[in-house]
Amino acid sequence: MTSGANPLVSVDDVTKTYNRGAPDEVRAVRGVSTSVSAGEVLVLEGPSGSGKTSLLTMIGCMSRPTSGQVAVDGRRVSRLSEVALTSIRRSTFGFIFQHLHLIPNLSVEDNIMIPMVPTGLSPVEMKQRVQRVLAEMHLEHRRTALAGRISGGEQQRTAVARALVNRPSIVIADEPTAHLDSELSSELLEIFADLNARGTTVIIATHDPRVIDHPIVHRRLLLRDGEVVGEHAP
Amino acid sequence: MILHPGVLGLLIGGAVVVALMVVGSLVGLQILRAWDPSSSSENQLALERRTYLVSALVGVALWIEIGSALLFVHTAEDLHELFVGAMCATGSLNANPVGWWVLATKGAMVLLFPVWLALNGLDQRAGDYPVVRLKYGLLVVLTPIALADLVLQIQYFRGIRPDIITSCCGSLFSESGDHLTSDLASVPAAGALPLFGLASAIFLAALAWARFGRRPVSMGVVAVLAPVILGIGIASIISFVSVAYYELPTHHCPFDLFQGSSRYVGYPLLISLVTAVVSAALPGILHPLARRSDLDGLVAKSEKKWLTVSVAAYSVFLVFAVWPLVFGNLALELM
Amino acid sequence: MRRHFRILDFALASLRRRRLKNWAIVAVYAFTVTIVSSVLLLTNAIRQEAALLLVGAPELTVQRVVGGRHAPIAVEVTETIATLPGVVEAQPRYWGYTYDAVTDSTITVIGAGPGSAELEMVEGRLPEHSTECAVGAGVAAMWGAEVGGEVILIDASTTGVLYEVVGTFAAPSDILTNDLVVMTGDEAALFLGLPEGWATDLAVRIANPAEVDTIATKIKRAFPDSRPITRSEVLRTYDAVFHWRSGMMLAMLSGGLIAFAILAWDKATGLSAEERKEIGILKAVGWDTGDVLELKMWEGVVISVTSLLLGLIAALIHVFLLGAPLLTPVLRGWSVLFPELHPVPHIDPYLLVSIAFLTVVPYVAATVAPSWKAAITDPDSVVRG
Ligand SMILES: Nc1ncnc2c1ncn2[C@@H]1O[C@H](COP(=O)(O)OP(=O)(O)O)[C@@H](O)[C@H]1O
Ligand SMILES: [Mg+2]
Repeated sequence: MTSGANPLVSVDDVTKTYNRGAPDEVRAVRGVSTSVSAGEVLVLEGPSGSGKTSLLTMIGCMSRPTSGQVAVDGRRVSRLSEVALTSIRRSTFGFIFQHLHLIPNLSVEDNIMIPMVPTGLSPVEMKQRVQRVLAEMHLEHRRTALAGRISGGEQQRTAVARALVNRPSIVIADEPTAHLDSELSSELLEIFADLNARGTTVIIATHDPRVIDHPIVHRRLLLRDGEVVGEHAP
Repeated sequence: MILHPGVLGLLIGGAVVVALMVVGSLVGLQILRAWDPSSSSENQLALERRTYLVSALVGVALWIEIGSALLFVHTAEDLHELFVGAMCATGSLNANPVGWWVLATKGAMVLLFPVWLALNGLDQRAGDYPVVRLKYGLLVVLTPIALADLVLQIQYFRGIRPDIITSCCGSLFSESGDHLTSDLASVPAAGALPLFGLASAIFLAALAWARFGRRPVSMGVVAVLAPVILGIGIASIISFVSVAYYELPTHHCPFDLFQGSSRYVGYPLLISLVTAVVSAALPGILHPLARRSDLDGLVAKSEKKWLTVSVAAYSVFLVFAVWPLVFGNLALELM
Repeated sequence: MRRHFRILDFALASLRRRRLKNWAIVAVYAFTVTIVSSVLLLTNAIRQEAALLLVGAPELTVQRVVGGRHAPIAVEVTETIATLPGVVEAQPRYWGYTYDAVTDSTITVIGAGPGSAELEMVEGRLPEHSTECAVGAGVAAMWGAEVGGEVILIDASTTGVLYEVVGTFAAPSDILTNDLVVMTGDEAALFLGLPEGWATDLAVRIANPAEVDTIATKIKRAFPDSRPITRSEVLRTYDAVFHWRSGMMLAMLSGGLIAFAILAWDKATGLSAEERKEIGILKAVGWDTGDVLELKMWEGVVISVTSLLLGLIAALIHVFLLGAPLLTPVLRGWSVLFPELHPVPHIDPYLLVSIAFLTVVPYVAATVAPSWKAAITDPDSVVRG
């Protein structure tokens, strides 16, 4: 599964250097090449500081590589303008962050709406989409509750709903289980399994063994100091 | 110097626009100097972020300028009470002819700023900033106009004193004078009206051809027609639209249309005409950019939008221009 | 198009979520608008009253000038003027000022004559005897004098003279009648110390307005030391003066406006950690810099429009209902007996646009750079947060 005929994402000799030229220069990613095919569940595995997040943000069109190429759906994105990059990110990727990053004094529904605001969808379409993801995440009864006032599990599902509302083909999660107890983390992994079963590609950065050893994972990429040091396909 | 709330507002507005444009061009020059699309250095990233600052500055400047152009007309209107012999803005402008130049710089800005913003919009959405140099080059050209506008405004307001005896629309827009405007005024409505009708029909047909055929030639034709239509539109206002609104066969002054006694009908007339002309010119001006492959789809989409806007705006203009001819008391005499 | 509305929607919601901070900005902003609009509304009202005042004025006023200063004019000149073709009548006018130490104010004394017949009486009548007078609302209030009461005024020879009040004036124009005392013509001449046979100026009525300038020229030729002033000239001078005054006040205010713009700048720059994080979230879930910038600009527009409306309403109440108490300290310098204003509420769209230009433009311009600064927050800053 390493390289399909038409990879969804291809990463070619990508590097990321922070504060280049300065004394505190950090070479966070040092020449990584890989590709992700549609329908895959890929885990980026490695200790803290190994460059997982940096690689993930480059794949997700959230930041640009210092050198090398990232292509999404065959389109080279590394040199695109911010507007173009953002529009690809919005339509292709859904993000789940380690610290969820919900806006606490906004309702569950409004939080889920945020990614749709700049797309210019009609209000009716927006409502329908919110309705659908709320149903999928079993959150209908919490629609108008403030995001800061609901339980941890519900917050978790709200964050997933927000990531799904623009119907991404790829879901990216950065250390999603770092702050979760085992019950919540297995619930989240169930959700990922579900998404994947319906064809969504999932990329997870983690060093949590509960995720790494989970049966839904198709492939693991081992990172150390910004380099790929191993690859496992269980 | 006349200190008057409208005058102060105009001076503040002018100064703010100059400040915005100067900062915008300085940042623009900075971007031009170090721009390197192949680099992904922090520096290039910082420059890309600054392009947003420039867009916001120019966007705000445009809005202020549109307001300022209308405020200027109205202020000239309001000031006429101060001058012996002035009955409307024409008299106030004649009291210190620099005023006509202010009108010209404001017109230039209202016509050119939207072109810049359209170019900017395409550039940002295109993906690789294909026209960044053209864009900031143009900006450096626009800034002196804003500066000239402010300087001329200060000169105008400094130069008018209430005791000036001025000549008004009676002489400028009369049928016997020797100005161009007098010639326009003396064109008999019987001749001007068919010309206006013909020009409008050609313009609308060309717009439709461009909108649905979307051939480069058609865009070019529309863009060439646009300034002609602006001229004919203004000439028609002087020649017969004003007359029909005032219901006075010899009164041709266009500025009275901006007064309350004409129910401010000058504003919709002017705004719709300018909107129609600017949005008609945009596709022709920007179509050559479509040759860059990455802009192709974007340009095509925007062209469709602009041409639609132009048709709509011109229709509004026609309604306001023709209304008094059809429903006014003077209609039959003019026909 | 829809995109803009969605972002506006979101802007409204996020303004509502930070109610306290935003109301604080609106309060300061609206206060600035109130002050600026009050000045404009008030001077506009005064201007209109002045114009009203001149409606009844003679087409031509003839003064005598000695050494560049206004001097009394001989009454007999009227006879010559009356014979000029086109002149309906020429009348002497007696008027002047007297300082009243008791109330520390200046009072205008006018002899009943051609102009005063047009003043509207609230009560009573015009004086008919030398011991009678009619007074304006301000004078009546100061002396507590009603019809039938008495006032004592100091004449040119510093003698106190007692007058019986026989009438008080209503005012289509407060300015005209507020500090007014009307006496009979002869008594006014005596009171003001005018020599026998001399008047303050002459009022000339002319039937055809088109002939005013010609007649003025003729008078000037016949009496080289005279200065004929046409009504339209007076009107223009009033206009210029009031424009100038409001302009001066606004120029002084612009200092305040700049301070306000700086405050706006400060408020907008001082993004709280919470707001900064929120913008990071927006960027991370798919907003680009332009979207966030638009959000910030919409917030500015909503705040501006709200403040403009609130400020205007407050100014209308302040000027037309309360009589502009905040401005009277400034205005006192203009006229000792400044009338209590009860102008007819009148909103000119032109004034609204001027007000918007004087307040909204500086505010919006001051918030562009800080909004941009907020908008360029890195999306991946959130990922690491
Ligand atoms: N914005 C930044 N500026 C400077 N250094 C950074 C920045 N982001 C990450 N780093 C550094 O890059 C390295 C890789 O970080 P990261 O990609 O977050 O790894 P991981 O997600 O595996 O913990 C770390 O040493 C980190 O300190
Ligand atoms: Mg990390």
